[in-house]
Amino acid sequence: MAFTDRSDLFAAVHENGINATIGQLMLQRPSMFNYATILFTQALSSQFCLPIAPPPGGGPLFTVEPQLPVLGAPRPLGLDWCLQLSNVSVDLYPGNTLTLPPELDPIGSQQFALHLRACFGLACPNDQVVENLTAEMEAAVAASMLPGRPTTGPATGPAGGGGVQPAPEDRSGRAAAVQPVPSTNVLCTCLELFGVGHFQGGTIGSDPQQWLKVRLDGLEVVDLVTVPPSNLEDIVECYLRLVLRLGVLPRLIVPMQNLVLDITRMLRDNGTAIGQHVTLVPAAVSADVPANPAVDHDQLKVFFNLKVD
Amino acid sequence: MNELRDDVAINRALLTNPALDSGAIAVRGTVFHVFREAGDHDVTILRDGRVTGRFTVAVQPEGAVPQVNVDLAGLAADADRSGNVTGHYAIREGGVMGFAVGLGVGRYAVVIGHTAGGGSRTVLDSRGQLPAGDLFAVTLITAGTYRATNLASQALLPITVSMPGRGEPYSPARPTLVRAGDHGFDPAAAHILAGQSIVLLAETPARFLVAPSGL
Amino acid sequence: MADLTIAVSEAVCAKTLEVVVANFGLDVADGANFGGFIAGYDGRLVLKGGTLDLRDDGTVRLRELDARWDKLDFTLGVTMPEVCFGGGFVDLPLGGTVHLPGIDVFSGDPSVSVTVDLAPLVKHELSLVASPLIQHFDPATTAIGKHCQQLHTALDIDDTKQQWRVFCDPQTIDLDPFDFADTVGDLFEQALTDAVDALLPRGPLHDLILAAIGSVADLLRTLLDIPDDISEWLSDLFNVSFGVFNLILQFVADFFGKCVSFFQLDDPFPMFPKTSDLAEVMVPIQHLTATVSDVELVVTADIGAVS
Repeated sequence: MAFTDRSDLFAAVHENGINATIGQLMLQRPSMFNYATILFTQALSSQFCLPIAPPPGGGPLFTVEPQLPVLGAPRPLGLDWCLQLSNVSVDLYPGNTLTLPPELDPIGSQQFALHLRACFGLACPNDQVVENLTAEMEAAVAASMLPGRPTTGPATGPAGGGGVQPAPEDRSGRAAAVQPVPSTNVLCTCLELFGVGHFQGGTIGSDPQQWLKVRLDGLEVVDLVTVPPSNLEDIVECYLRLVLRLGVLPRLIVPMQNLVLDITRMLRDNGTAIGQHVTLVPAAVSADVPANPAVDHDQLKVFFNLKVD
Repeated sequence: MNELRDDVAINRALLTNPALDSGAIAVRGTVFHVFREAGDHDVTILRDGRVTGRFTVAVQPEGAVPQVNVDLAGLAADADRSGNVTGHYAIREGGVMGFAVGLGVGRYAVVIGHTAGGGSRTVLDSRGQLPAGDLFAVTLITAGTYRATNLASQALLPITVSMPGRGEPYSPARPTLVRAGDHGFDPAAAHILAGQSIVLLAETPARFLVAPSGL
Repeated sequence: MADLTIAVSEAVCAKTLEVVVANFGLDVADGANFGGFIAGYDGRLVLKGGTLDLRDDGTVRLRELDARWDKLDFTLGVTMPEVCFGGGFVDLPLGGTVHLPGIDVFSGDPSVSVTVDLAPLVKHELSLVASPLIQHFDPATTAIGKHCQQLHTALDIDDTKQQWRVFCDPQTIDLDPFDFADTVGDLFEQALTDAVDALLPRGPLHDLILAAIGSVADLLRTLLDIPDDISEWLSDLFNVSFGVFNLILQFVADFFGKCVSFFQLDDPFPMFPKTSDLAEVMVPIQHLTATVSDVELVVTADIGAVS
């Protein structure tokens, strides 16, 4: 049976190839997998939970994110932190290299299993720093109580009530700048994550370009042991699932023709030389092609037809 | 798609049709002199009445060629300032020297003197009459009727020149001999194709003039 | 198992052949002095049609490609023979013969040149059997000729970056030699007649000189010293004397085997395109192979791991 029995072009990427590609991706785009506050470029640059290799072509090591607020502080205070995703690997159906937690096992037809490690680091201040900041916070509160002194914030909430305490503002009414809480000690913890997902092909918006998209169907954290009704594991899984689905995976869409290494580019670009317009279209799902893209035998497979008009 | 390149010029003398006179040799006319006596001969070339060249001819009883043709225009161009032409000619006794004009509008005459015995005896002065035995050949290009006149006897020879028929075999190199004697021309009329020649043999001293009938 | 397997059907290979063939163009020009005449040619050969078969023995067969000339201008320059009026011999009545000097019709160096377009009168059929040939193109070290560069520019093949290139490298080439149609003789006769005709003055002299020259066909044969069949003479001129046949063979071999590859794969391959805030991700492609069966061409490769 030939590869092209059901379509004009066929490509299959073995999970080893996908994992090799993921390795290149993590090496060349570390900022997709590492998030931290700006201080990690300076005082905390050696305090990452996991070291980050500079990308060969240059570029950012991590994506800068805002500090974690110290809730309730009379003047805005922020904590430095980092989140790093690593050890990413994929196991295509039938899953036989990753051992999934029982909540996800076994993966279904056309699915893949995913493993990654998520490490979170928090720059925790020492007692002396906290003591000094306490004095500042108390002074700020006391200053807001004395008559005649300018208040530190509006006495009124949003019109019509709503019952909320707004964030502190300076005298001019602007949101106050966040004062960093200095620390030289980053506490790290890592969680092992497993997921299952599937691939989807299709357009995005009104552009006719066909894309390969990655969809996450489920995520499990295996290092948190919680007893209901405690939902800490669910909360963490929810947050990390959102990070993956909304932050990381949308950046991993791939033009479909890249899976055949764009092998027909010369033909498509030069159709006018033969008076024809040549394009590559994914083969329609049918009895012959039950899924496109398809996952089986440890391979991601795509089927294309040449359209000539 | 054809491209044509023109490196060729047509001989201008073919484009005009003046009368041909044995006394003033021009293009399309040739005087042939028969050297009847052995010995050295002086040949003087005149163009439009002025001497333009001289050379000698050694007439030998045997061993030399029977005919030499010379181009009077070419010789005049080759002559040095004193009018001498390099080159020595030798002809067999009874042989023929033809005097023709290759190019140009000049009119030429030839005077030949036999220099045996220290003196010089004129055997040919083409400005006058050709001696018996000499010939005058004319090549007629333009179709039409012509008249050859022997000015010595006033005999007339009508000549008809016609175009070769399309597709018929044609060779310009087919001259026609006509004898000119006391009783006129024999044959009495000549018919040739354009581009061919009439050769008039002077059986008695003669001067020939060939002109289109209209002239 | 290879990391990557790409299969291309025979139909896609055949469609690719159409594009490749559409960009085939061989420009040739040469001239020589053969003693009695000067000949030169200036032509452009193109390919049309053809079918592609993938074969079980691992080869690719391209059949029945028409090699046609877009233009094939052939120029012939000949020196006119001397044409004279008058002349000939007369026998004198008393013995002896007088030779009349002729009058030259042409003064100056008489020569004539004609150019005819032979393109409609010859075509060749080309077939070849090829094997897939893999080249790892490196712009720093792989040499390509100027003509190839021009073809690559026309086909948008990028010679500034490393690529894997899959060629159909001809193992055997079957090309018809030059075989001009019989009508080429008439074409030359007419062209030369027109050329001579244009030299001549209008008027009475015109027909007379033509009559003196005689049949142009005979003139042609005399000038060129050729046998009866002008088409055969011309074919030999192109096949042997000018060596155009061998030129075409060599060009076809180089075109398919070295110059225009059927497929080009960038290495490293930009798997994830660049975005406004992220660099593109380049994936090294290694150990590329290409094999042919009777229905498809299969390319396998590995993706380079991070070292």
